[in-house]
Amino acid sequence: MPKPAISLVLAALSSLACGQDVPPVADLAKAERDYYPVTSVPVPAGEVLEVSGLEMMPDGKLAVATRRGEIWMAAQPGSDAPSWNRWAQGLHEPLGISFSDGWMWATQRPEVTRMKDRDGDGRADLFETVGGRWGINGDYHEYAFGTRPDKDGAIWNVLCLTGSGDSRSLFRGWAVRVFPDGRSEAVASGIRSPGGIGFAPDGECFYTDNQGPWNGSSSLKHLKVGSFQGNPTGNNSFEIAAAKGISTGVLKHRPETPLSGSRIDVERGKVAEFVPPAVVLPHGILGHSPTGMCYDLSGKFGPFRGQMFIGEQTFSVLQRVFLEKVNGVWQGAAFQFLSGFGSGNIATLMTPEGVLYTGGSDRGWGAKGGKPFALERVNWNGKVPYEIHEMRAKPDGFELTFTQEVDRKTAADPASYAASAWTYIYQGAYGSPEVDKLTPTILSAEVAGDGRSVRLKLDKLTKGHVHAISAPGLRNAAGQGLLHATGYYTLNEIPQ
Amino acid sequence: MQRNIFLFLVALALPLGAAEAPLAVREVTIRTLAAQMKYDRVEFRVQPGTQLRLKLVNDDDMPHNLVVARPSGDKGLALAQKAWALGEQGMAKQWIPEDPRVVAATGMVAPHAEEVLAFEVPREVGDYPFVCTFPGHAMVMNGVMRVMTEGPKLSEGKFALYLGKWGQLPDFAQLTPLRQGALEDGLIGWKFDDYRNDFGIRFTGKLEVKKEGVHQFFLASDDGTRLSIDGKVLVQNDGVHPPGEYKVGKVGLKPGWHDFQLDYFQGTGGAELFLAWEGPNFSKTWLTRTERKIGEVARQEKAKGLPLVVKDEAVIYRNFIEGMGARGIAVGYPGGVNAGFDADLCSLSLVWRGAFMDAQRHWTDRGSGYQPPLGYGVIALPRNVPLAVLANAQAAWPAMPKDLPNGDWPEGYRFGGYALDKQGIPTFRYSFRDVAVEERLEAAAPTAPGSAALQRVISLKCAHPVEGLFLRLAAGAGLAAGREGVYPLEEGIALHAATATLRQSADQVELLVPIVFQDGAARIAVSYHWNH
Repeated sequence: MPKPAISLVLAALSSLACGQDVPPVADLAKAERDYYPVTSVPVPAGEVLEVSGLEMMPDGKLAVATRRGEIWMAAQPGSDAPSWNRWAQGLHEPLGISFSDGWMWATQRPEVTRMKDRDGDGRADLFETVGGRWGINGDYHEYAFGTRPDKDGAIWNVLCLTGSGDSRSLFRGWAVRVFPDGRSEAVASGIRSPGGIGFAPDGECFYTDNQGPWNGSSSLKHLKVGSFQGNPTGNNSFEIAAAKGISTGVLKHRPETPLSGSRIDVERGKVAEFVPPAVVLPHGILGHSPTGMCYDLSGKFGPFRGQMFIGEQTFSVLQRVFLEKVNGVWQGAAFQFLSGFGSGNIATLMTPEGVLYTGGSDRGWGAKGGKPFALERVNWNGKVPYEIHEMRAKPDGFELTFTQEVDRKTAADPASYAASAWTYIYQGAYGSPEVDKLTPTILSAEVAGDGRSVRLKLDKLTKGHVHAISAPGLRNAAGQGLLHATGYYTLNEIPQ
Repeated sequence: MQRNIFLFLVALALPLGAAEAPLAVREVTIRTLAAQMKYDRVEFRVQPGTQLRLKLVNDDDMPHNLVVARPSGDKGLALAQKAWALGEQGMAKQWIPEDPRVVAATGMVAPHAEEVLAFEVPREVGDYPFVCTFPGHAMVMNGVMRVMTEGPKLSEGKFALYLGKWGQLPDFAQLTPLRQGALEDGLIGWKFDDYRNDFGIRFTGKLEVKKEGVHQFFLASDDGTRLSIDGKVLVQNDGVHPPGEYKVGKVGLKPGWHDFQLDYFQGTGGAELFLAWEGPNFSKTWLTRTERKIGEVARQEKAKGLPLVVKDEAVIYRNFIEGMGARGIAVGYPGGVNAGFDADLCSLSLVWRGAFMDAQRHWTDRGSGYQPPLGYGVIALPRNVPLAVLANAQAAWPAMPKDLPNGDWPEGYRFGGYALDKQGIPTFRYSFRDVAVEERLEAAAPTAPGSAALQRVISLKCAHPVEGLFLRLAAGAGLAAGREGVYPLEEGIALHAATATLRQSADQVELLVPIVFQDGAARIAVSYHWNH
């Protein structure tokens, strides 16, 4: 009998809790709030705000899109009593809104739309169809998530497959960008079930994809133009489009179909367009269903400037991701960041002032938070948590940097650390257990002169594996352990 | 809004569509409970020979199946054990043994996936177990499909509708009904508009008893009800209240016909009515149109739906709507009329009156599939593009674009969105070739008490005249003019189109309006009228 997924979760959580001073899971949310207090934003009484998109308006109002097709505006969203007005209704499950060039842009299920309040009465009165003639057939799973406009004004959209693992409509399982003139252009294929999409500060586009067929675990993926993202289900659109004379843009040919039951690291060697997941978000450990992401560019949200924060629907948490490019491929590490949100987080937004808003709903899939919907605000209170700051791959190990100076004695002791590595079966069946498990040995731990980083040498690095490095024994000067002691690094490439 | 209240109440108890034998088709959804190794229901009842669509939704993090087996008395355990004996072959065979006891079986359904099992329920009554045959699951992961015949519905069902403001049931015999008529398919019920307060209904009819014995009636209502059989009060649940638990009345009945009378009134707030009966030779049988699992609050909530209420402003509902493609835009207009605009076709596709839309299908759980309009008098307009350039008056209308949502706009068309006025009423915008089109609908003044009307204005602009441009308003085999400029679409529903002309085209009649541009513009105004 296969091991049920729930036991994997418990095993993973208990492995995190093995360090003496690591707080038990139940208390973790409380400990996290010593640095990042979370406040529930009061929503209008009697309304169901299943948050599906967030945007900060030029006048300081918070725009909140909902799965029920509304856009609400909250004046003074940082106060105890924001005032709300309904700016728009009647949209078809918008998953991504943004304000640009005087227009509110939205990706709703059937199209990209832009809206305007021409008479200034606080309600949108013009709804223009920009474009987006992707296939859509009435299936619940055919979600469409969209970005804000890129430098060319184009909105990038990731289109979920039909059902869990089928493609019955054009461009399901593809990314398509829609230009302001209505023109559409295919960007990538191989997508399964996105939960969010956004641009990194350098303009690169990333999206999250959920565990399922061809996704052994959920992950963060780099949406490289012309790429294949790993799920071949939607590649039938190459034939559908050819038969209809519809362009597939830079995607000239159907990629080779990967071998089910193989490993990503093997198959990406055979499929030229295959871009491997940048950061695996280990299923059952960090979450079940990753969603929207945001970045702190201001440095006002604590020590993680430039890093990515990802929402998670099932676990009602936020994760943190550090990214680097090795041998031309994006990869990096994921960390637990903040837990105990009220519902299933779908949308996240970082304001220029370093205030993070997140919200969502548990509808259809359930969320640990327990509330049907929630909108919450995270402020940094100025205290620096003791965390792994960055985790970089090295030819023979990893370099960890920290948010505080480490205790040199524990930091230099290899016994303060533990390493494990695994990967997933890359297959057409749903999900995967963790397989090919390894326990690398930490050979040495060298503390940098400034006491802010440690260079770990491992006996073996395995290309393609998730490498979990835990530091349960590591202390800071005050003798405290790390708030979150483990980083999960996806080693697509080993640097030279 | 007093005028609208009056209009609605006249329409309140209109027949609910054509009378036809209820199809023996049923959908039952069984979900798995996450991390509990259980189904969410351990029993459901179904009539013999029903075409059952049994949906297994796997909310768990491990795969499960569902196997319906012949009655066995052991909850399907022996059959499951035979599946376990498949050993290494089990997964390839979806853990389904080759065994005559298997009535129907899903494959292994992946976590967070679902499968629909469509099959005909066996003709023999009995308790058919259903079970997950994945090794180790069957002991707790099982339930039973009870195959039972249902009893008769109400015969010669009639209703009489009264208006009034009451806190208790009035004596309807002393009042004059506003309207009365037959319950066409024998089911007790009504359809709501947005104005749902201060009325009462007396339902009467006959119940046939075939086998002597104790018969039970299960009644829940919001607000008050009184059920009488053969002139004697059997269940009384008067006053203003939510439906609450069922009130049960028992009575011994002899074979033959028995007089049935159910009085009901609605004050304000929620309005619901559930009545079922059960006899010695038949299972619980609903006499009302609405059903609620007896003793289960969740299903009661579901029965309420999430009706979108239209008040002083138009309400837009963009979703999967029955009668339109996947890019449907429904609009509920103040005044009790509604329209559906299909953005795939740039075409008005539906008009109806009464209640607007029920959002429950899409706004609870995952929300799949197409939802029909909530109101009545639904007219489906031709599923095709609205404008075409015809080479001559005999040229055929272009064929419906194939596989529309999977590609580009219909040839020459582009949907542009809509603008809202102060009342939230949309003006749809689209283009056809060089012609910019705007289309606006709104409620028009009713021509008689109880009637309703929807005005439709199409404005076209083009820098140069377009020869041979036509708007098609209707098409159908039996389409014919009534009095001049009036075209009956269905019983009691007509299209008024002064400038339209009929033509025979292949096997149907089409109603076309030639578009004549003057100074680069053209305007066409038509209206849809519901007599009652």
